[in-house]
Amino acid sequence: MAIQSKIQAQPPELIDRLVRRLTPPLAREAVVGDLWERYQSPGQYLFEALHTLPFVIFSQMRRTARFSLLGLQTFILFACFGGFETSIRIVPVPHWAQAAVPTLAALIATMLRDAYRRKEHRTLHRAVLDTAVAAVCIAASQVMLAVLIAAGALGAGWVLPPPLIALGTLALPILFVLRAGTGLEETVAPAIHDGALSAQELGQDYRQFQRHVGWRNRAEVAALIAVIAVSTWFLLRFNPPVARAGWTTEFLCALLAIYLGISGSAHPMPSDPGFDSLRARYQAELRRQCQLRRLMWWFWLAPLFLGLIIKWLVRGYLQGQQLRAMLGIGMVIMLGVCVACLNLDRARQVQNRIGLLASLRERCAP
Amino acid sequence: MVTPASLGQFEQLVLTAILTLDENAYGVTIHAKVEELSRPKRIALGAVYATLDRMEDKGFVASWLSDPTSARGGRSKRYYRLERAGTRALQNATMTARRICDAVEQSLGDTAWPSNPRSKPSPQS
Repeated sequence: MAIQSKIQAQPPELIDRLVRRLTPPLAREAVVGDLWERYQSPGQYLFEALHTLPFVIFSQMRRTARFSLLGLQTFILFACFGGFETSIRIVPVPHWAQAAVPTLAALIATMLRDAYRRKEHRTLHRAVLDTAVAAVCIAASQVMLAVLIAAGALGAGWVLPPPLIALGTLALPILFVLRAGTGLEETVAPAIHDGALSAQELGQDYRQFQRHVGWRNRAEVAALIAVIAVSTWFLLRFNPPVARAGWTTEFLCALLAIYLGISGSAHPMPSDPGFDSLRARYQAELRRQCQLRRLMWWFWLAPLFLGLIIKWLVRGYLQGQQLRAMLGIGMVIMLGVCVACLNLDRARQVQNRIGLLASLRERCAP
Repeated sequence: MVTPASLGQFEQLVLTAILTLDENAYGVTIHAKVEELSRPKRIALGAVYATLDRMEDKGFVASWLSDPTSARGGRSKRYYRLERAGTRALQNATMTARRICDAVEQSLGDTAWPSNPRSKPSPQS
């Protein structure tokens, strides 16, 4: 009887598994444990879990959200879906409203992904999944709008036209690069017991850093190639007014892809892998990668800056639309702040790692 | 002069619960204490978690995971304790509440406190 009551005190396996799946990993241990402790019946357990989890999920979304990352994602998605377009159209739905729906869908998807991640740092594998989930959510939002329009619940014009869907796919490689992080986070410095490392351990850590930077570099080259491919198709298919600028940007993308392919990966270990020379190489490479990432970030976002300056600031000024010009200035500043914050975060991480390396002593072999 | 951090009413309840529970402050007990302090209002367990996360991010509380316990399916408890900043914020909030009480008593006199038996504090608190 006592054993039976102990067994009955546990929630059913299926419900427990569902609750565990829905609870963000970083809060799972404590929250699910508390729900177990309060268990009275399957219905009560499920009801309490469903009542509690929205708070927990929202709290994790808030804790894992980063202003610079979210801001950049919003700008990129909104721009690629034509949200900053200012030309007058016949359709009843304004550009910004049409772009807001897929942008919001992708943002919510990526925020939920962040809330449900297990580890603090970003990985390439996770970035691929984040981008895929965002793409699925964008597609799902368009399908839902089409269903609502077909059912007569919404007016026509909410679904993105094919040119904007094509342009929107350009956001995905950029989103991937954004969410891939620096590659630095993946390396875990070996256990430092007394502020000392052997040359071998340092070499292992550098090799791991080299490997991850290599993968990140290859992923970024692939993203550039994807942008070139989609842009080429878009420019040939639709021949937009900005075709010349588009071809120029493609040429620059190709040059950068070649540069990254040749020189983007981390330099190999020095031929004489002594502790001091290895440490100096590691620190120099960290600085170089940080500068390279900074350059890449400004490059990825240069078309967006140019578009905002031309369409909003310059045209607003020339047409005497002061509000439009002011909005243009505000958006350019906000975008610049987001990029600067992201670069500052990255620079801080790199500085911390460089400082940690500088403080290390060589542990000699026994 | 440093401006003292201000606390919402619910945050005050949660910090008070952690303070009074001492070493036994984790999700379930904090929720029970908050409900006791806020009678007759019912409190959602999720709201307590969200507030604990916010307090931790502000540096008012610190948390750690205990050893797993068999009563919770082998899961650990996440215990909380007040940090110095949290204690200071709670003290500031208490002083403000005391000033409010004094002002209300002065204005309303004997009618200041409702005679609803459910809202009377328990002997323990």
